[in-house]
Amino acid sequence: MGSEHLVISPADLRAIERSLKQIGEFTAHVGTRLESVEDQQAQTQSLLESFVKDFAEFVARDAKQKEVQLAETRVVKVRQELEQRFGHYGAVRRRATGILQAIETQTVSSDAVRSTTEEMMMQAPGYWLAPALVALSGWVRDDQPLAQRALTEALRRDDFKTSLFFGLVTRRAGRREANARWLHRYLLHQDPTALDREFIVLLNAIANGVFGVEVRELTSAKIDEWLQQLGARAGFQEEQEKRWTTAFVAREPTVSEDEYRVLRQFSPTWPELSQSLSRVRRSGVVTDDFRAVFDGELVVSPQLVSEVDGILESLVKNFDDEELPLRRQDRFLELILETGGDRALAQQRFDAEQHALDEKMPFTQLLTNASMSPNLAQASRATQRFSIALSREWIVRAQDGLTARDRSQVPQKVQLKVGDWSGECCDGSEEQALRASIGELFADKLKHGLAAIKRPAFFFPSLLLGLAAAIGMRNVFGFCILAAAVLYCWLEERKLGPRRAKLRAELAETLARTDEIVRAGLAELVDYRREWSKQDKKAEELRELVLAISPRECTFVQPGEARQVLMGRAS
Amino acid sequence: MARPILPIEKSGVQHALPVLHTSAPTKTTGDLRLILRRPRSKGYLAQVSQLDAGKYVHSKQAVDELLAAIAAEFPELALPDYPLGYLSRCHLGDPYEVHTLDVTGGIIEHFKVGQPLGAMFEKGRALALHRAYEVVEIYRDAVYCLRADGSAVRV
Repeated sequence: MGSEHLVISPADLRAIERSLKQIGEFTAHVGTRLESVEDQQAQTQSLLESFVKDFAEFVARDAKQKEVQLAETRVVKVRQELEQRFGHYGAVRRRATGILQAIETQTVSSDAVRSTTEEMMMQAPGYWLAPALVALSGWVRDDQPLAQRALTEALRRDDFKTSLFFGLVTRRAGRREANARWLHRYLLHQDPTALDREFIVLLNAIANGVFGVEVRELTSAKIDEWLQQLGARAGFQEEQEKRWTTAFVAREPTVSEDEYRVLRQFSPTWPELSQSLSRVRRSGVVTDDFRAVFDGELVVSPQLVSEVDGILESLVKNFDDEELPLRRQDRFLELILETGGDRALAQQRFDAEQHALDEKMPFTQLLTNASMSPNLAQASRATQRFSIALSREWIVRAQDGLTARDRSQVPQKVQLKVGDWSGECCDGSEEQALRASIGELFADKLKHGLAAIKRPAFFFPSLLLGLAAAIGMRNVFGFCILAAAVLYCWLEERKLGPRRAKLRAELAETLARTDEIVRAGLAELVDYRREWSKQDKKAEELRELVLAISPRECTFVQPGEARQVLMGRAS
Repeated sequence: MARPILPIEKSGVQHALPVLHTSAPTKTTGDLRLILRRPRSKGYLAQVSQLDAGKYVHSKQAVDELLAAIAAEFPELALPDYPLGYLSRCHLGDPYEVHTLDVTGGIIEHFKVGQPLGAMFEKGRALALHRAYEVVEIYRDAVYCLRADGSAVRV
């Protein structure tokens, strides 16, 4: 037991307390240091991030600088190669325009033209334009053997461009027969699924009579052949119908907010009615579009001739196919330099430029665009007529499909809803039935409303209580209670009349308003059905209008039909 | 108001229809559309436009001619691709507005204004009533309206 006393006797804990205090101080110190370390770590992290950012920027800048340096070096090499391989092409191109002008204006002697073109021929082996110009000079001097030899060489080098070149040159010279033959050759090279950008310009010119009758006939025959060729492809007809359907749907007008206001507000069927009306009005809009195209005189714009001449100019001035890979490299390197070495941005710009240059269009897309979006397609009214005439069959089918859909989806039953009342009508002749239905609803409402206007629950008990008090007490006080009860009942009874009258008046007013709205709604429905039928007839008119278009007559402008206001040397 | 256009035998089995004699394989939706978008022949159109004429009710020969015309118009179609029936304006007068020919059942039925038709037939009702169309062909998944010139439009 003694040892137990020793254990629990007070001990000197100061040393422990001191140690604990020291530990506490140490811990606090460690905490402070730790915070300091954290701060330092944060600073280091921040510095590191800044460094990484700077480093990344440096790497990017360095990469861009290297790209720029590389592009600078390469662009020199590419241009040297271009100069070595195709430098003489540039010389030919520079002189070609001058030679053409000299030949046309007859301001240079034929010997000078001959020596220049023959020199160019020797300077530019492989380039189609040189022998083409030699052939031209031979033609001008009536040197048929030379012209034929040079032509054969030019065609061997580039049949497509030579054909187009002579097609355009002979048009300027007014050689209609030769012009037709050359353009026919040019058309043979065209792929109807991917037409060149200049085709629409030529088509406009042909459609407007800028070229001769022979070209029109040849082009017409070629286009017939293309359509037969394209038509044999699976799904082609459906695709054309879809194109036209989309074009027609885009012409659907919207129904104005001011029209059919009652139906808009009180008919849950309005969304369907509105859509159906918008669709049925489409035929009228398209009919007007087509009438505007086919009515009136065709005036040929003088701009057409300059556009055709523009093709000749670009044909002579533009780079040749052989040069294109190097020219593209040159352009890409140029873009890298322009963007300060940003290869991705340069690639993006390059792709956009190339897409615009390489843009090809199927013939049928061209027809749809020229018919429905002539401004966008840069098509003249004659081209529009021609495109619509050629697309006649697809237009009718697309129109038939849309019309049948519209007719099958016109809402037959129209709901009207005014307040608590709702009813259904078809053609607006249901006024009597609907008003009877409104009358029934309001009679029912009145019945229930009147039934709801009751005497208070205390009415009869109070009267009985008064009577009981008067009989039981048989004194003044009892009679006073009875009198009070009678007075109360009389006052309550007097309130009932006005409440009933108020209900009747309110319901009568609502009934009259509902009646009025329903009558107005039915009148609008009659107008709606009339307008729908009227617009629907336009669908048949449009069909007849399109079917009446004679593809042969409308394909191209007939001689004398277009008022020629062409300036210069239009044939 | 159902009026059988073929005599029903005592066993209740319908008269065998010529249109059912086909060994053509079932067409894909695309092929079927290509076939059905073709304009209909004058003979076929004349046959199906006369559904309302009383002769189909009384003459088995007339009914056979009609069904043979249908079979001749679609020789490449298999039975499941055949029209379910035809729908056109009824000339019986008020209150009748349309009548249907159920190809499989060989029954002509006249419908009053507002009287409901079958689901696909109902889709063609407004078209059958329209003056622009002579008759409406009803298929499992589509409706084709035929104009007087024989052109067929899918809806």
